[in-house]
Amino acid sequence: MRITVKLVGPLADRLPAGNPLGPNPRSVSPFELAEGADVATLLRALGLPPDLEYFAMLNEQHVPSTALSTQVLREDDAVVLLPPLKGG
Amino acid sequence: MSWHRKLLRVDLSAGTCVSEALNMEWAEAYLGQRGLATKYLMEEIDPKVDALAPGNKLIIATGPLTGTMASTGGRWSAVTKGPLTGAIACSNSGGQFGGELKMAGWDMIILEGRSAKPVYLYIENDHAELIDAAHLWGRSVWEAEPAIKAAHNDPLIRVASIGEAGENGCRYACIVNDLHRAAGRSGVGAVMGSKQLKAIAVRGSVGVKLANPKAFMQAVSAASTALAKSEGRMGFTRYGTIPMMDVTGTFGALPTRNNREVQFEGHEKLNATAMQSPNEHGHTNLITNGACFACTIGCGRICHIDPQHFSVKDRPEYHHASGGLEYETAYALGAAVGVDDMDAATFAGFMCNEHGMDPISLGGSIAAAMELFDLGIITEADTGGIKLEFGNAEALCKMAEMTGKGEGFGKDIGLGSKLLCQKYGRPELSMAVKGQEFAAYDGRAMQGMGLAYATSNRGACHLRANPYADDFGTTAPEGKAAIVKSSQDFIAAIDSTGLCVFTLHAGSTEQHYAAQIDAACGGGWSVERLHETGERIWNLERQFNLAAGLSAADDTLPKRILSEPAPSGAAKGLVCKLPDMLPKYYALRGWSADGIPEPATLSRLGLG
Repeated sequence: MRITVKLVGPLADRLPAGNPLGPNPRSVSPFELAEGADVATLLRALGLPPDLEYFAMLNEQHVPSTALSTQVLREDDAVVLLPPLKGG
Repeated sequence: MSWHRKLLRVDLSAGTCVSEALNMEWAEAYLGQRGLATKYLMEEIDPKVDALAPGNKLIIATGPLTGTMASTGGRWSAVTKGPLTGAIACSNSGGQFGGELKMAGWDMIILEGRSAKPVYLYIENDHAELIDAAHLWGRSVWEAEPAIKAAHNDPLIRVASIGEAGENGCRYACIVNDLHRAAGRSGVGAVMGSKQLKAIAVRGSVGVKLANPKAFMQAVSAASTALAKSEGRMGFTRYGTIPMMDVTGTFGALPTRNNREVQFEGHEKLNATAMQSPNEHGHTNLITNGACFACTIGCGRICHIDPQHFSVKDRPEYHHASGGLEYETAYALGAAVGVDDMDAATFAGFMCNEHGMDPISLGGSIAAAMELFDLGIITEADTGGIKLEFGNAEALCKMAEMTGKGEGFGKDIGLGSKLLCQKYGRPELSMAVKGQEFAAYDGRAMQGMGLAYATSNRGACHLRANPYADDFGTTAPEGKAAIVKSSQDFIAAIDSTGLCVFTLHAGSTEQHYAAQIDAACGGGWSVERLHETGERIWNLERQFNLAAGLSAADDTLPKRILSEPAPSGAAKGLVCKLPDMLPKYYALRGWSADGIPEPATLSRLGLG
């Protein structure tokens, strides 16, 4: 299935070389993902490290941290991955 | 040990400077900086005193790690009764000034009384004197600091001074050191101005002694290594704090147009990418990053404004570099006022550096005025012909400069949003707690931050608790009270060490703080003792506020946050659940339902 993915702020720096989102991961990018994948699966498919601290918005709705591994994605979903920054 | 065991007492009324032994029993109980200065203030003034009267005192305090090689060990605090809130005011700064003061051999300066004429305090190691400052009065920070260095023919003097805002009684005037670092919040600069004290200039070569140098080196090495490896630290170094614009802007926690909204359509014009990218003239806002004394994070942004920008066109005196936008300033001088012009926000920030104002309260006050203007409650007849509309970048720049100089409607803006909105009959439009304007997080999307704002002893503040990770994980209020209470206590301890609270967000563990303090101060310092010390400080601040006349009724949020649902984002449809969280918070603190510390709590903390 095809979804769109956008990485916010410093999170994009954590992508490995040759990442599948191309040169501008901070913009909305199309991404192919297997049916039934969840947000945590998406992170692995992007090559992001397993210890990554992040939270997510799905179709402009917040995904609670407890649901990141159970929230199943669907065709045309828009996922934004964000770093839980602190301070400011 | 890393206290010098002495303080400098300056009686501005009498014109005297006297060395005095530091109360080491208090130092062991309150460390330094925020904690120890609050203890002295509580013992020495009537909390009901008018903040701008001679009876108030202003304490400039270092911590035991200030001036050491511990990473970020350059912090100092200004503690006083605040003119913006009527509550305890404690404002923390970095730069080079704090390290220099400690190097000069002083743990603390207590400033009392009021000088009959403008003066500045000059310190060179043991020597301290008050010097006439008539020629500096009416001058900006950017004029006063170089003038003092030139007068002493010493470019390495470190100066903390006030600008015209502090002289004019702007309720959120700050104390600026090293030209663009500041003890920014709560109006500590107005208290300094009320004493006719223009500046403190210091030169030190005494150094700082450590109880156990070898253990200290090991502890500092471990803490610095953790910072070096931390993703959080790397983000601060590379981007500063401004990436938060994208996070809260997407999440829906970015206060916009006086908290009418929680997402700003222009946030990508005020983010890290915009700061680092050339504009249509090929001008890039960011020059480099900057670090304070001993800091290995370097979150500061050194920026300059496009010379072709309307704010500085034909004003070459503003074409140089200064401290640029951080997340808080990008919010307050951007989203809060609906302005998406990075150079305009940078100019307004420069006005804060130059004239000595807190940019958060300035932006919050202008945002409130813009809402009053939008509602027709104030008009161009009030503002001197300025169309004070949300999104008007030119109005923002003019208001920032007029407020800094105390001119025209800028005098009203300088009251702070609480008094401003009261003056015009709409107090509910002030987005503040205890009179201090919100920082850059909306308490509907970030419920823990809402509780942290409501309970902060100095008024709304994003630096008094650490609910960020949990708030970005869930908007449900359950568990927030414990997170807020625990982090408030530990941060109160960090704020008393001489280290920067950003270390907490950049890789430091609680054990790192304990190990460094333990080695520097002679043993006996554990993580548990730091928590207890922080809790003691928090309760002492609470006692000050209660004695000053504040009560549980002040632990609240504006009606907008409590009753108007967030219009979009993660918290769409939600209000802040403060009424659910506050009783749990009081119970965890060992306070009564009326927010008063129980006798058993005070006894346990040695405050009874």
